[in-house]
Amino acid sequence: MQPKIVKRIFIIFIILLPLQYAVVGIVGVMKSEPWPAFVFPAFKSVFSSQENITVDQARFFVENKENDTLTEISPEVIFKGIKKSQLQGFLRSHFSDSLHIATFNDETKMWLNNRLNRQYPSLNSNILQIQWSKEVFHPTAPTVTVDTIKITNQFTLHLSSE
Amino acid sequence: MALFRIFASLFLLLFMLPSAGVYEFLGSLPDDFYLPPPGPMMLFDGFPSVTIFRILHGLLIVALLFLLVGFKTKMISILTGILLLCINGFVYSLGKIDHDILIAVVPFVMAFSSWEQAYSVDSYNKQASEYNAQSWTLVLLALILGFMMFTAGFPKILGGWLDIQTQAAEGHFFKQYFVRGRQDLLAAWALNISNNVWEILDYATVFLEVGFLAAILKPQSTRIFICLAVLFHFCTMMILNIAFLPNFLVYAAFLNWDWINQSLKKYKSNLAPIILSGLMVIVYGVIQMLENFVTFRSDLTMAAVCLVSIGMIIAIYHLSKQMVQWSKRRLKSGGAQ
Repeated sequence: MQPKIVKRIFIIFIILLPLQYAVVGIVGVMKSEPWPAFVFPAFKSVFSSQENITVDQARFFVENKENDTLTEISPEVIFKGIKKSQLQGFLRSHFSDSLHIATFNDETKMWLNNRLNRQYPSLNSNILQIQWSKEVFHPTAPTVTVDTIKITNQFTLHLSSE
Repeated sequence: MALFRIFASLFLLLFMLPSAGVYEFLGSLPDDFYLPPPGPMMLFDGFPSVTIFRILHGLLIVALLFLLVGFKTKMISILTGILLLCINGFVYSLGKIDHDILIAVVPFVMAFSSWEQAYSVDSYNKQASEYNAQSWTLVLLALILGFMMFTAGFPKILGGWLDIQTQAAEGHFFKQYFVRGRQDLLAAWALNISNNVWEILDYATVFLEVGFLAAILKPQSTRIFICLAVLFHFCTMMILNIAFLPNFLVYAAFLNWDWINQSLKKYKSNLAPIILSGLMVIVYGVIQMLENFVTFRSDLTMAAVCLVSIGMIIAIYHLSKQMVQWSKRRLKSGGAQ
């Protein structure tokens, strides 16, 4: 390749790389991180040694109407096939907002129902309850355990029209 | 770079392709779950069917095999990059991006390196004089890698990683350990690491990532920083159980492939590609065997653990060699005075 073309390629990349980084930052704030992009994850959050660590956790339950019980099920089992590194992001994107869940069409509810019946055939329920909680850890405690759990959001999804 | 072409195609073929289960899952998903990131994936309305995924996957395997033997290499290299972007794009439309774009960038950039110059079907059809090794492609890869590392480090400075009143790496470790269930290898031991050591790790991480952009100005410092990055990834894998295996493809581009070629040629001239391929297949076989005996609770794979560990050994060897050479130079210049 001619040196002139190589020089132009480098000039383009030297301009393009910071420019796309700026676009990633702006679009990331307005909507979500664009893709593809020449960026690595920042892991930029920190915690003070005086504070606790708080994490958001999703829990899935199946409701049994006959005896009014809730049985916890694992999202990893329901959504088997998804990469583990993708699961939390998938749950946050699709199951953290009751308004978003309300937009699920019949096809989506049927899909969830089929997954539930396939992975948990003995449960025989079509009511899914999703609970989001904030779990607080004390990092300075001798043994680091969950200190408190505070439920922040809870909603029910009926998976059939019954 | 011909040997790197063979390494890259086998690395992708043996260790980086998504499993069939991922396609079955994605192909079954209703459109409500299609949440593309801003970008070209927004051109689609939903996930393609399992059949389409299998076709893409089949095309990728064929492309990688063509890349391995070096047939229509430039076109196939670009096609490999496109197919990887396409498949990964759909996977990331679940709602979460994995930052492994480098595995698609490498074949794209190396398409222009003349990495089919040797050990390839294309080289039989062309005269050696028609090839001109394009070393600028490695420089471009270094620029991209250095910038991407900078994008990981710079926000950390803004986020407070260098503040001695805060703990960053330790906080991320706790999240990975307790929430993500990443409790394999040395993760449990890491609960005993003191705050001072965590603070040193905070500073070391920022120095490595931000400093990478300056290090790429010279080949020697690029290699040193790559070795440091490999050690960093090894530590991250042992403690946080996160391997960053896709990065190792671009790190491998900066190995001394000329030296590797000459070393393999000592055993049998012209069989260097066979020996390299054989070694990689043996490593693959050993990994498959080990998977029967060792399982991880986290999402670590045996392939990631083995390959990152091999990379760590190579990095330590290179850094030790650099230190010996530097010491010899110092002694020589000290003696000359």
